[in-house]
Amino acid sequence: MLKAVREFFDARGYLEVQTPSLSKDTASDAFLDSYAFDSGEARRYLQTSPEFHMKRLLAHAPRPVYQICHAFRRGETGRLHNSEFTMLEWYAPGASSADMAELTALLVDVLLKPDEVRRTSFQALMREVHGIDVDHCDEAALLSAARAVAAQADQTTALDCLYEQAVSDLPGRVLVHGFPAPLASLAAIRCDGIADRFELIIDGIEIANGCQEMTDADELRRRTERNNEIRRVSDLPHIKCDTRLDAALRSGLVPTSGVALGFDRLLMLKLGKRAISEVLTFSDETA
Amino acid sequence: MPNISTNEFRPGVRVLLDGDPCVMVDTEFVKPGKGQAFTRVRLKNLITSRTWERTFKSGESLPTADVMEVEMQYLYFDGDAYHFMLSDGSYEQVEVDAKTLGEAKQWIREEDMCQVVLWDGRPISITPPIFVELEVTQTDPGVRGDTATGGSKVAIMSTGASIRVPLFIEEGEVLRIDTRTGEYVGRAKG
Repeated sequence: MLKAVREFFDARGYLEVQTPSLSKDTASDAFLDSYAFDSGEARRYLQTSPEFHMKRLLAHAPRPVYQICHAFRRGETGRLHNSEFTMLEWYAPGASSADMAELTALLVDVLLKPDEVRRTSFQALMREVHGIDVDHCDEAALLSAARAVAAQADQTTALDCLYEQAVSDLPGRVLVHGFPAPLASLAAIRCDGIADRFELIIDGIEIANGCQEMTDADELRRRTERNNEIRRVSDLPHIKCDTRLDAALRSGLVPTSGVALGFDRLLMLKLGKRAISEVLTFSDETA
Repeated sequence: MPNISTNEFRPGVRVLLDGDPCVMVDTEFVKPGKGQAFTRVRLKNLITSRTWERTFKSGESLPTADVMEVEMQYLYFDGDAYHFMLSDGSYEQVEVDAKTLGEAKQWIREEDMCQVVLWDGRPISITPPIFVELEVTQTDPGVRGDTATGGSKVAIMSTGASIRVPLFIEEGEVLRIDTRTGEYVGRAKG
């Protein structure tokens, strides 16, 4: 399957790259915990995805790139999670998130078997499953909808929780696009206020996540600071804002879209396995 | 009782949810790549036996429930309550009302051993032995060749339970019954 991935991207003019697993910077996502190392000098982090390094490469030389690497996320162990896992990540300067969504669907057709892909927006999906209009309902309505599934919730938690519930029961392949701004992560925000991000869900499992990348360094700073506020509440370490990604964005990153795909999960689906540990040589339990 | 956090949620853990004691049947760590982590839990309410599905944000906690399962012997019915005694030699007794005893009532006879779930020392559910042997107190004589009812008929047992038995069963016979399904297994041996 790795060979098929390489053939797929090589044939489309992508360059395979390798970037370091250890870095002095790390993702500031509100709910990602990085493994950190203090080796006498500066603190270094095992990367939760190759995103920072790959974007820095693109700022330096914009061209389509892909990478197959291990990513590390602390405390994520479960049926569909292993704290060390294989990620396939790619970026295409000049491409839109819609282009990337189609490429993702095509890649999955090649790696698994071709199958119908249903396309829906986040908003339409939430209306269909939970009967709420997330773009126009007030916070109270959102929270009361989430109450049915989670005991304690704020607005973002409610959205996360309702979305997770909605997709976990979806059969087949579904491309969900257009996320509410609080769930933007590092995606660009469209002029209608919706995050230009998509996810590919297969049989209820999140397989890939892609977006039109946000290239504004000031906005990156704002989001990092906002994330740090949430991180503080949930006892996650503070992440500094003046990263080298920040510097790279300031030097200029052309409009780019990128996708991250959980390779082990795709392998799970291909082999009809129920748990990620069944497709790993050694899982969190045994490694 | 101490609280227990999502990272200690496991099948078999007993907690209080909405005031009722529940046992976790299934737990799963779920986390959207860009979102926060949750623990999805299927719980069985130990009082009503209903199954609930709930999602908890990572870090949330629930109070644990002081629930234990013990073996007790059914002693007697005093007209109001059913009396059970601990079989560990302590002679400690509890009273169980008809509602709590539920279905188990129609299977147990005095001196039978049952599994009793105690919550804070109070009985909340009683499971009878899987197989019981009861005497048939009333049933119609079997009519040879009558297959219109699928070759079975109703028999009333000494405890009042009514079950379907083969046509050849007669009053006074002792039958082995599976209490999980309420089905006739066979004639008791010996």
